[in-house]
Amino acid sequence: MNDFAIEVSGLKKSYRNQRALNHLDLRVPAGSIFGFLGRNGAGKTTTIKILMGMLRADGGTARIFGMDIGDPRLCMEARSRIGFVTEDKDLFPYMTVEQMIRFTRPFFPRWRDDLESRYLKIFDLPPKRKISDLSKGMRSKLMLLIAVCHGAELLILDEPTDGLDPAATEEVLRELVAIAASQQTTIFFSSHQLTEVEQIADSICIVDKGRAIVTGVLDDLKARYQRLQVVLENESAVPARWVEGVDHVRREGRTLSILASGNISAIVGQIESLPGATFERFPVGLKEIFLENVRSDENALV
Amino acid sequence: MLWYKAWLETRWRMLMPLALVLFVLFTGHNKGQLVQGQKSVQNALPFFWIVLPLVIAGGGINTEAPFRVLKGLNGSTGFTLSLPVSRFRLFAARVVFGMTATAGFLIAACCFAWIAFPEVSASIAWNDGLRYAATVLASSFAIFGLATLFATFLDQQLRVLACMGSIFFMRWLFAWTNVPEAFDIFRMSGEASPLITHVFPWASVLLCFGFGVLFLLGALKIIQQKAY
Repeated sequence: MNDFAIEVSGLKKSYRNQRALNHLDLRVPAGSIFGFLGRNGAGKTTTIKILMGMLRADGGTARIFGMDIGDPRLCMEARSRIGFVTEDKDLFPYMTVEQMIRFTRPFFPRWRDDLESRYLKIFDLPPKRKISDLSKGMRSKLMLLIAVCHGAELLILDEPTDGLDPAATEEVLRELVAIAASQQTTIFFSSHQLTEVEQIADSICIVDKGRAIVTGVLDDLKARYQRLQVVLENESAVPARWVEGVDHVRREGRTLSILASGNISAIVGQIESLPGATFERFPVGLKEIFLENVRSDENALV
Repeated sequence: MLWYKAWLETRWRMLMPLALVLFVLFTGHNKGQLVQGQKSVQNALPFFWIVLPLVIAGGGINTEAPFRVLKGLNGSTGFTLSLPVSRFRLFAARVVFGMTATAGFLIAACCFAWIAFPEVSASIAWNDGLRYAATVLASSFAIFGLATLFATFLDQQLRVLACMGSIFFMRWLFAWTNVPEAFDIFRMSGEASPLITHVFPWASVLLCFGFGVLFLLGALKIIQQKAY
């Protein structure tokens, strides 16, 4: 039994001269719900395509359940244990919902008829309707149904709620949590919707410019990260060098906004050593951790 | 199930060659041209045998959304590739289905012409008919291979153009280089067909199969390396 469903090490991929992945390292604990975050073009879909064997990495290794997916035979074996929802949610447009399910079922010997009936009902999918007549949201739900019903041990979902209305999004998220809990399925999903990630993910990885810049258990990250709002008496009293743990410092006049990712007591000590400085500490949400790490800020001092 | 998928993808496309061959046969029959040596039908049929594999050739594994391939969008290919099936098997299923459909169609068309039109059965010996069918199957295989190769990286419309262009270029090349008649693959289903010569064109048939295998191996190589 592997402790990690996905292990990625030093993964590299370039498209012509554009670097998409730059030594990406990633570990997805088995049984977790793992949010994979990043801006557009950060490397999320490239990573997912490499994991699914659609793209070949230029370097590094990627393993699923310990199997090196660089080996086509092992990759195929891994795929039999993976449920996949693609970014564009494209299925065969000429098939009906029923035909799509009938087509997919024989590839997966552990197909769950009970789950099929359940999700057809929950997702309100009309069996006789053609895929080409389904909305993107309905196609997302059908893909999810197929992914779940074949008894996958790992779900890889690329923007699973894209195209869904808020009620459907809520429904899908609820079901994902239920699937992870009841079937011990690992869920690895990419999303731009930080509130969704915060709602269901146990662990996250923020990727930027092809590199993992923040990774860890979400609750630990939220406990570790803090914002310190510092008001200086004297504008020139800003230290030239901050202690370890200070990730970003922004300055607006006499006010400093510090995002710290740990070592809080040392940072507080440094702030207290500034003449006449007062400060307040605030908890930080995922959105703030994400934005502080991926955006380029002209006012940033660190 | 891959065959089921291939059938669903191809069934409507097969209507076009079906309509075309029926049109050629009935027109020929009505004008009394459906006998050996009548040039108009003789010239029309080879064109049909080119169109058939071109239309049926499913080609690569990304043809579910061929018009979007050039934009880098592979449609449902992402889903297909996520199945626990090798690219070789996906490709093989499509090729075997395509060639089976082509052969079945060809045999059905020949049988139909033989049964429905007495002038055909009266003027063509059964063994010449069989030789002709085998000859056409060989040229269809080569064209199928070419269309499959182009389908791995070209949009559907461009694929047809590229195939037609390549066929015309090869025809010109064969004429320009004075290829020996025995190896002239363009004569075997036209003026040097077994219906006229009563001889099976072994060399041309083998050459066609060789070309077909070469094209298919090229297509397979591309598909196995391709990023989707």
